[in-house]
Amino acid sequence: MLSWSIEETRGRLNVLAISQPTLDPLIPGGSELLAYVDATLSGDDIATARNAVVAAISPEAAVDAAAVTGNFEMMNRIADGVGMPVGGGTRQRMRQIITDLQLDRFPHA
Amino acid sequence: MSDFTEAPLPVRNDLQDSFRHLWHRLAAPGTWWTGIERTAIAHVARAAYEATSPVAISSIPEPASVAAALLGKTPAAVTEELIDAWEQQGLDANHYVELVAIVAMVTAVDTFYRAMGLDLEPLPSPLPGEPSRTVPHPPAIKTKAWVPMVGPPTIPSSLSAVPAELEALESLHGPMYLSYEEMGDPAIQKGLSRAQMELVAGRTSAFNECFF
Repeated sequence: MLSWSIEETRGRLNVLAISQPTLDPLIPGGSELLAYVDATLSGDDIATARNAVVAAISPEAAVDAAAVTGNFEMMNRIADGVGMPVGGGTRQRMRQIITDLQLDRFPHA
Repeated sequence: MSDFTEAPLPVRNDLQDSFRHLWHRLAAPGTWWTGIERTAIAHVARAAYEATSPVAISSIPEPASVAAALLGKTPAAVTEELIDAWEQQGLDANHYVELVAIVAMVTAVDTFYRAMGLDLEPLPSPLPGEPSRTVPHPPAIKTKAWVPMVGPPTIPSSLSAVPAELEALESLHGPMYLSYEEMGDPAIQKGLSRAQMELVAGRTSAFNECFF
């Protein structure tokens, strides 16, 4: 569901950070949030990453980040499991970002 | 289910309630699978995600076990050809859509628990009873997506071939992310701003290589 999220956020953050988390997303706590997602999905030192979000934003933010990560683990499985098509308009609007993020490497792109 | 007293941070009541509701539904007979089969599907998907040894489950057919494991571990590897092959082996579209829903929703809750540093919630004991075998009206039709849907293929209609699962999805993704109504508000602020939420969502999708 990456194309959907990018459409929702374009202009409000550095979307390149989504696929290259070493880049600064340019929003408060952005780097800490990226690290928390990666830690959760890789199982690598989750507590440290969660504490960093608490320190950078708030305890409520860390709980919400955990919930949003879980939600998109769910939505990814639904979108990929049912073969949800990406509309031609979306694909056209995202042509540059697809190139920049190298999204064509994804299996369902 | 856990009362979250062991959680390192306070867990919102609406999240706790949605998880409890899901666990109760998981144990009960669904639209096409029994409670025993639904919890077996969840067990296979969880084991695949945890990269433990493949589990042999006799209570669900082989193609259902294969599909649950693949969706649990590497959903981007699912293809239309695989779904067609599973159907030829007896896993019809209605059973498959309910299976997708079970795997996806259990993975959502499991991921939250992992992120919070909690032990995974034990899967519920199955409840007796027969599936309802309720079909939607108007009927679901296969068009551009890989499974039948009621109306055009969009995320809100993704599970519409099995209406009870679509309803369950909506009751979970409101507390975990945003309701469909809230999604129309770019300035909405919960514990995270909308931009922060989408950063988390986008990174999760990138990690899973989910293009949609």
